[in-house]
Amino acid sequence: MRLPAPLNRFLEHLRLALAGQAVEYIEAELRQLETVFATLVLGSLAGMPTPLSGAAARLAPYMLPEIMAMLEEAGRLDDLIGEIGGLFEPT
Amino acid sequence: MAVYVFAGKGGVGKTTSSAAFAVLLAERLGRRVLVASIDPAHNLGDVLGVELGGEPRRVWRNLYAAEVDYEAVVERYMSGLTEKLSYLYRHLKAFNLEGTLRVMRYAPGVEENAVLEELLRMLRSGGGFDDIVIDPPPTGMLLRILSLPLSALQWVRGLMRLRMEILKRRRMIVNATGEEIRVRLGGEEYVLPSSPGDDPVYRELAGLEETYREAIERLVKGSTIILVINPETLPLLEAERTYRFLKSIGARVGGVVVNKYREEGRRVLEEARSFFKEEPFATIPLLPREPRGIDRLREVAARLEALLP
Repeated sequence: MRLPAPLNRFLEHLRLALAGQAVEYIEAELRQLETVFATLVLGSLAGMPTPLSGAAARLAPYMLPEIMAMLEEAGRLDDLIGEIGGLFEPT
Repeated sequence: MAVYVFAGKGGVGKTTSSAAFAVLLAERLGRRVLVASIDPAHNLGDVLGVELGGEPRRVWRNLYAAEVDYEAVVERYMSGLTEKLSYLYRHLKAFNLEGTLRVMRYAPGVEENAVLEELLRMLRSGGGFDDIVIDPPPTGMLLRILSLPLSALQWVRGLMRLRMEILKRRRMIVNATGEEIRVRLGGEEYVLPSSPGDDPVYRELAGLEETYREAIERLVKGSTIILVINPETLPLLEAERTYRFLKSIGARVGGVVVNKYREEGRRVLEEARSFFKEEPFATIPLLPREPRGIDRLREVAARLEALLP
């Protein structure tokens, strides 16, 4: 059965909107995971005991993006409600 | 290739015992032997009566010796890292890279890791030796080096699992948007990898996992550890604790040497014999003169025959 063109466009927009929102959720989860990863590896610099500074030292050269994500995340910690609100867009 | 590690408290005679055992392997079994000191306070060269450096030097017949330059090993380990970090972290002016690196040089685990990698390098290359006898640092540091790969392996595997979760989510985003994930840092654009093969962090973790697995195979389970004590209560108590710990991590203990034995130590000697009854046992008497040089070490070596494989 062929759907009328306006309905088709509406469904396509709906699909894109839902996909976009799903990507936003995954991105938020990804930021958290990257922060956890960076904290585990480089935690000794922030006073967290890290079992292996030697291994952390080997990983550190490749972790610039994670460190930047961690710093950004730290900046947003002041406004967690805003972050969650932005994600779920309650209106 | 067999690897022997002589473990014990500082000053009990690890260097003398390991040098004498290396002489025994070379003379009695005709093996090509390397005796290597990785103790930061070297005195292997003093015991053998020759000047030693980081590269193996022939000291007698088929016996070679080396003193691993401990500081140079750690410096080499750190300098490779400094180079990479200086380039990649050049945007982070406020990060105080130099200060951080100075701190990392003395961070717990860095020295152990550097020494562990140097030991593995030595064992991998083999150098055509049939046997390697290692004169290690005192017990505390040695146990840290030996237990490092066991805890590190668990930690690295945990990080690998977490990294896979990160890569999985990056792939989901790439698949949904049809575009690579790009970030701009310090004016440069970076494409974030989304598969383990492209991710340098995952590759480095896999390399670390391989290093620690190899260390467990070659060093913890693949070497024979010989405990050296003096006939005194404190070294014996420490040796008993060390023995239990080594057994708990699956290391192989291949014998016990009671060095500097004198009559007053008979009671401790009997206690040691009783505790280590399942292990080969050797006794070196307190000698009127320090056994320095090959000829004197050959006399000591004759006392260590019980330890031969």
